[in-house]
Amino acid sequence: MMMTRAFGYIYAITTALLFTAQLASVAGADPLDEPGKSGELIVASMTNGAAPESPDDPAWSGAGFANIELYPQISVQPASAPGKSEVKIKAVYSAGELAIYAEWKDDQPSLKHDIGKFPDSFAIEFPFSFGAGKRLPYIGMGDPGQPVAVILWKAGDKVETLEAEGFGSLTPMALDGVKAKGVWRDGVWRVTITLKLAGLAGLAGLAGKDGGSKFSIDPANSGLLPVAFAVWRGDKQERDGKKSLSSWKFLRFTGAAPDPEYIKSLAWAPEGKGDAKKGKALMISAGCADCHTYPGSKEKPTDGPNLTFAGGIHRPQYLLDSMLRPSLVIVPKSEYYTIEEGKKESIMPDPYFTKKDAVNIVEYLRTLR
Amino acid sequence: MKKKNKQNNSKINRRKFLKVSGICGLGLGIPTSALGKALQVDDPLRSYPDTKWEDFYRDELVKTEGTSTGFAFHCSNCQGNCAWQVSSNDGVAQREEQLAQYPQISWDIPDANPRGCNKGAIHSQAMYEKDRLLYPLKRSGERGEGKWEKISWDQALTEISERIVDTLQEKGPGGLMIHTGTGILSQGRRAGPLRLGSLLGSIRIYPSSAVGDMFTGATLALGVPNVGHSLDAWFEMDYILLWGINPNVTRIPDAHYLWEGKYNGAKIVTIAPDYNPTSIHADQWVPVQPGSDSYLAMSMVSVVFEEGLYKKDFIREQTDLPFLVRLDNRKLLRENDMKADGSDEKFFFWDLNSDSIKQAPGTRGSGRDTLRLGKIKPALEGEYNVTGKDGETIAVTTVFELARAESSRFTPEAVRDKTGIHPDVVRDITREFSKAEKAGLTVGFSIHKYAWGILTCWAQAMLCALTGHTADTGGLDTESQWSLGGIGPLTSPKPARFESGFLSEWMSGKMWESMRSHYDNDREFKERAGLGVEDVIDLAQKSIDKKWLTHYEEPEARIIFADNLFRRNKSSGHYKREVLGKTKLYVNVNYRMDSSAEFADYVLPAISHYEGWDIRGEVGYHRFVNLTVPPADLKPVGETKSEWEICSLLSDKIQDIAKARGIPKIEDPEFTVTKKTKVGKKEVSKTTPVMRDLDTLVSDFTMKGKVKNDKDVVKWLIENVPAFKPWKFEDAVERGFIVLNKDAGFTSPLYATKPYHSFETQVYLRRPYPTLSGRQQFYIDQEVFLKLGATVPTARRSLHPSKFPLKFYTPHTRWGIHSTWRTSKRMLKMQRGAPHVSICPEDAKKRGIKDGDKIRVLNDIGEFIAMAKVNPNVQAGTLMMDHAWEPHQFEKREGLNSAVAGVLSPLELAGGWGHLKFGAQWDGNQIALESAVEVEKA
Amino acid sequence: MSKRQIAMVMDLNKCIGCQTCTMACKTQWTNRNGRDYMYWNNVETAPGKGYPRGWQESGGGFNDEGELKEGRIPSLTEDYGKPLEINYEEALGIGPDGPSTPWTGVTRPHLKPEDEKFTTPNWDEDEGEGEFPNSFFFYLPRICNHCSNPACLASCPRKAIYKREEDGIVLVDQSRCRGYQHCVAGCPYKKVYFNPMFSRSEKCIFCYPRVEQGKPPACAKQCPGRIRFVGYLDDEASPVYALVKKWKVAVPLRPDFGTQPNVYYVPPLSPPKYDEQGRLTDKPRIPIKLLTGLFGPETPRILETLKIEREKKKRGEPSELMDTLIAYRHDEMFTITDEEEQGF
Repeated sequence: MMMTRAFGYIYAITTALLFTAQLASVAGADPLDEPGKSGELIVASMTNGAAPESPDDPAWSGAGFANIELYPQISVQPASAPGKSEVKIKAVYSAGELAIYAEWKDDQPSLKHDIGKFPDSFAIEFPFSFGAGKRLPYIGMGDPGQPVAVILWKAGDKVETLEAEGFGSLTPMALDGVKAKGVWRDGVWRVTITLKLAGLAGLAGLAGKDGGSKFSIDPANSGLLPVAFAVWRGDKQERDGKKSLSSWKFLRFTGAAPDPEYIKSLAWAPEGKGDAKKGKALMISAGCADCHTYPGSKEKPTDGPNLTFAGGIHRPQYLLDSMLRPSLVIVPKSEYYTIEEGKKESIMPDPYFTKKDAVNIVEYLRTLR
Repeated sequence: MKKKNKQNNSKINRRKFLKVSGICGLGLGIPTSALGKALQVDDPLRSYPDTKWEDFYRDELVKTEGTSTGFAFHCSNCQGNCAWQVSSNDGVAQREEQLAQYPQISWDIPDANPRGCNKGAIHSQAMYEKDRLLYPLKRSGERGEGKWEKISWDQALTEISERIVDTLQEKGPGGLMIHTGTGILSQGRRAGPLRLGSLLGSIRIYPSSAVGDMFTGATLALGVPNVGHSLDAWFEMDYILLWGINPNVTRIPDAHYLWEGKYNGAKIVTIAPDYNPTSIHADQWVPVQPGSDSYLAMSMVSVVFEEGLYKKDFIREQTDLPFLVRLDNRKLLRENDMKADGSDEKFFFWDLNSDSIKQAPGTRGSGRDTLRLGKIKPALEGEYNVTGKDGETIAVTTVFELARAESSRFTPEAVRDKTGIHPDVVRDITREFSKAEKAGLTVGFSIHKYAWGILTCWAQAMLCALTGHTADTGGLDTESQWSLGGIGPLTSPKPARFESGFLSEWMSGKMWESMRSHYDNDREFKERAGLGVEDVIDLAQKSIDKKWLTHYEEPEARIIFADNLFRRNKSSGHYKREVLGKTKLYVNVNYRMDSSAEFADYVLPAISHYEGWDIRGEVGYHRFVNLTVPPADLKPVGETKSEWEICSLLSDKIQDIAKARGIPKIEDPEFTVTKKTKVGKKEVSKTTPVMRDLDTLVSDFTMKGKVKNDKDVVKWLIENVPAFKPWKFEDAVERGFIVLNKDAGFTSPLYATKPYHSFETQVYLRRPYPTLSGRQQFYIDQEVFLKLGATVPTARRSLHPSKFPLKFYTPHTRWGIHSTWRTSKRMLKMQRGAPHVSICPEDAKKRGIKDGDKIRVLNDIGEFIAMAKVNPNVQAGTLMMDHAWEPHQFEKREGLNSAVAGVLSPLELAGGWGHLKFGAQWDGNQIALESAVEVEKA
Repeated sequence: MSKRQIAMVMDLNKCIGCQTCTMACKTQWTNRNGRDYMYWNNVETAPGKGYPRGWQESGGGFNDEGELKEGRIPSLTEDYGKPLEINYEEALGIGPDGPSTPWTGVTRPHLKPEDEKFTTPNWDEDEGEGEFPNSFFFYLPRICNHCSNPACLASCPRKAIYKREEDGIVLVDQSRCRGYQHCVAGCPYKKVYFNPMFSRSEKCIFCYPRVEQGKPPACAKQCPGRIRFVGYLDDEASPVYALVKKWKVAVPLRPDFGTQPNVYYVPPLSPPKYDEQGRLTDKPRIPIKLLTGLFGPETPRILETLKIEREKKKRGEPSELMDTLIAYRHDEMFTITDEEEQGF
């Protein structure tokens, strides 16, 4: 009882705070070109012809690269070996289809799924539901109530369409019209995945979520599509959670008008600048290292998610939420929550940071990438 | 700071769900998720939200259970004889599973379920293997070149029958061999070839002898080679000696009785050259030198004599040990020594009660059908004088005295250097064996594959006799068999040319040539064999000339069923050359392309174990007669036919062709029939040669149409074999097996609730044994035995020539029944996939051989290549190899028998004496384990 | 925990290494659908490398803190051995239509595995260790242990491996497995196998479709040595209960792996050694250290119990333990149909 009341109280405050934060940021800069940030945005230009279906298609020559940073998945076990990498993304769309081009380094191509062997793979992740006032799903496979769609390409051009609501929940999902072609040459994989826009729109229906998807069949009215990427290197025994992933990025369809409300909702412009130094000190005094592993922490505890690349794979708002409203954004791994009267509760202690402290910590965490 | 991790668990009632899914077993095929959205699994250790997918494996089970089922046993040269259920799905055999429904004969003896083994368990796979013969084939290249033409059954049968009739015309019945090897031992499928051969008077050899499975030592002592107990008797023993047998490998369905017997209090001792899979469970293993068993057996006998462990009353009555023997010529004292017209089958004791000579009751010539001694107390010891027919004095002593004297040469101390066994060990096991209430001595098939197996087994029999172990007190156990009377009219309607197995093969293959070269050190051979190599070769000819053993002229046409003759015969390369050289027509009827079929002129595809009707019940290991009843919807494999149908079709063709050529009948003077006819008052008997009636062959073969197919054969057998009564065909077909009745026993009744033991009639009713003396016999004065100084059990050194360092021996494999299933990839995968030999680490090291190396095994008669298996369980100076690999599994297709010499045991060439007369009970062995080799890296 | 736990006891003093169980399992489940290389049931010669080769050193299982240990995925060619393909047509001259295309070349090829280099699951059959005449070996039949704390289950990030509530049988959900093979590496007994045809992992399923029909698993039902008892651990009428709970003579293999297996073994006795002179000693051939390493610290007591009870039988006294191990009736070795299903 105590706890529930306390929780309700804090919830009330934080939402209020957030609301003001968003208002404050109306005039704020486009969150998608935050200073010092590249590769947040992938610009999909319209082509009059058919969307390309192969990485060698000349239609790609026009499109520009977005360099996306990839971080090893280490929030949960089984984790992949540390080490940052990069995938270069281009996107083009036609009246009916969206094509995404990905290019990454891999000196040792792995083609087979066999005993002890795993194929090189590339995946694109979309949320089913997004938009102003909607929290983005957890970056790794979404979370319960916040499903994601995954288009998974495997060397040998096997492509799977899946949905997930948290780790280990990946499930095949009917989605027709998906094509994929990969070419490995001189230590580089170049992959093109082509899918029907109608199909994408359909996702909302499949998920049965209210509101459906903000990007509609008509890209003209759809501005901004959240998207994330992951790469698996078979020769490094990567499969499943052993992978490198990006944080949520955004696909912008040229000639389409992004919903300003949504842009606002994505803003990171808290009152007053946070101070990473203070944040770091706070984390030490608060004993975060008892549960979390992050640079400089002596022990390597696994009771909480590893934060070594927290800034690289999470958006600041998520990090803030996870401190102020831990049970709202639980990393969907059974070790990280308990169930109280049927409701999941994070084992993250109930928040006792002031918002200011929390912002300082976020600023520190954003440097972890 | 942390919250405790409390867990919830939702439960669903599986049992209910199963009940439902049981009814509607719908398939998911290869399941890919049918789930609409991501499945949330909480704690899979406690519960799982969705288990519909489990039908995936349920559906696979349904498929293997099949659309129809039948019964089967595996009719190969395995005495296991196990009942299986076979399932077929849409006409294709899926799998087999032991029937496991044999009734328990008594509450205090474990039941016989589930009889079976690894080979039987994969025949549903092997029957469709790529070595399966599917169509009649005619050679289109040289013999053995592997080039074939596919022909129709009609063409095959016509051409073969033409050649058969040619042969009959030119050479008479003796020109034709119709022989069924040990690949088919069942009463059902064996009947066809036997019947056709019998009607035509063809040659056939004795398979048990040809493969070296005759327990000649048992015949010497007991008059029959196959003696002992059903194997459930092991469970009741106090002491079990397993000598040269490896039941964990070779008696897989019966071995459990040993280890259950051990839990039941039995002590189990194994005697073998290597630490084999049976020894691992024994109480003691005796690591004997290969081939030195006769020394070990005699040393145990010597301990019994020396320490007075023998049972006087038993041996006085049940053995010939009190019989009198002339000291002058070392022959048994016979009535005709003392009476001009006396019998040579009447023998004598010295009676201690009357201090006079008394005739022994129950001998063949005695005219008395009992062993009861009445007032007589036969002397076991001493020398006596008797008066001969011309009044001369004949000094005599007892067999007991001579046997004891002979044994004293072989004390455990004296033979230790030959056997490698410490005297304490020998004395201990001898004492334990002697004193045990029920002690069994089971002898394996390997013993008689040594030249002196005959002596070993004879001495083993004496060990049992002296210590009173016979019938339900244990005793010698070779390979018990049932008496299935009533089969004669089906298999042998007319006399045919039945000849010695080992000797005929030896002659046909001119094996003496390999014998000459392998044992070219005549001094060494003579010292061990008592005769020179040339003497043995002459003795073989003498044995034929004197008709001690039967051997006819070489056939021109060989119709071979289920006999892998070019695999099993020794000095194989040599044998093959000789036999093919003198064979004008060679037809091989087989279910797979084995190393013998591949040299044939015609290959006829036969059914295998699940595809036709069959019945088998002669094997004495257990009392169950098994049936093969094919699954109703089982499709034929290729164009295969049953042996009965093949023979029936042949008789058809032969009759037509003979008719066309105008030869209705052929006279066969080799055999005669005597008909008694009444001419007025007096009866005249007329003796005429047997006629081979080609004009009525079809009606003769089918019993005037009564027996048309393999199913009819099974029906006929169930109706005509007394031991099968009171079972009806229909009941048998419904159950898959028959339980034999009391009459199945030879020398004892087969009691419904007790294990079987031979010789209860002799021990309890005092009826004579089937020997010359009417007793367990330990004195044989046949001329060969006299010449070799083997009138009483004795020991001799093995013949392995010292010119090669490794004694080569080839025990039975776990992975085939001889060559059957030997090439199945399922079986090969469970070994090393290719022929391999076991060599001890020390011998391997000496030659720089490592495990897995390819090595050459060689001697003066041949060589072969195999993989080295460095094995700490074999002893230095030996090379062990699982037997019966197909020659075509070796590089250059030269099999292991190309390095095995064709040697004979001189004692097994004897005959024409008392109970040593050629026939089912007396024939010798092809010797397999007396060759020596060297090995080198290949 | 599951509501009930079905278990198997294997009496190693009765195992004759005949591999009928292996073949029974093969034809029941693994002779098709990409499973050919798998032996859900295998019998290996111990001591030896076993199957898959070197499984005891392949990692997986749990450490003393109950944390999963790193494990490796065995190699098909080195550790499991590829399915053996034999050149029947080339060597025998026959094919599906009668004659095969005749061989060419100088010497006629012999019948042999098509791969030049290969290994098999029973490579070191009947070898063991020690020096003649004191060498030693015994047979170790192995299936999935259907553990109470399965490392495969713990290693699966998808929770696609579960323990059935009603009988504790551990299954890989074939509709959810994505072939990550963490379970293959995580099982310290290496009894989960990746199926390259389905791209999913599979394992011994304790023949649950047979068990549901009241039939014992194929390996147990078809064992001619009569070494396998099957029943529920809580069923006091079951020989399994008598051997595991009452007499405590059946123990799990490598308990140190921490998975709490539900397959139990009666450890093997062995014939005594000879001394240098060739006299019999009273020392068993199999070093007790080897046995306690495999079957845990209780092993010496168990072997002693077996000897004592056997002596009773020798003296003609009753012994419930010996009578249970003897198993007078084959069908009574299996107590898997509960009363409800027997229709009481």
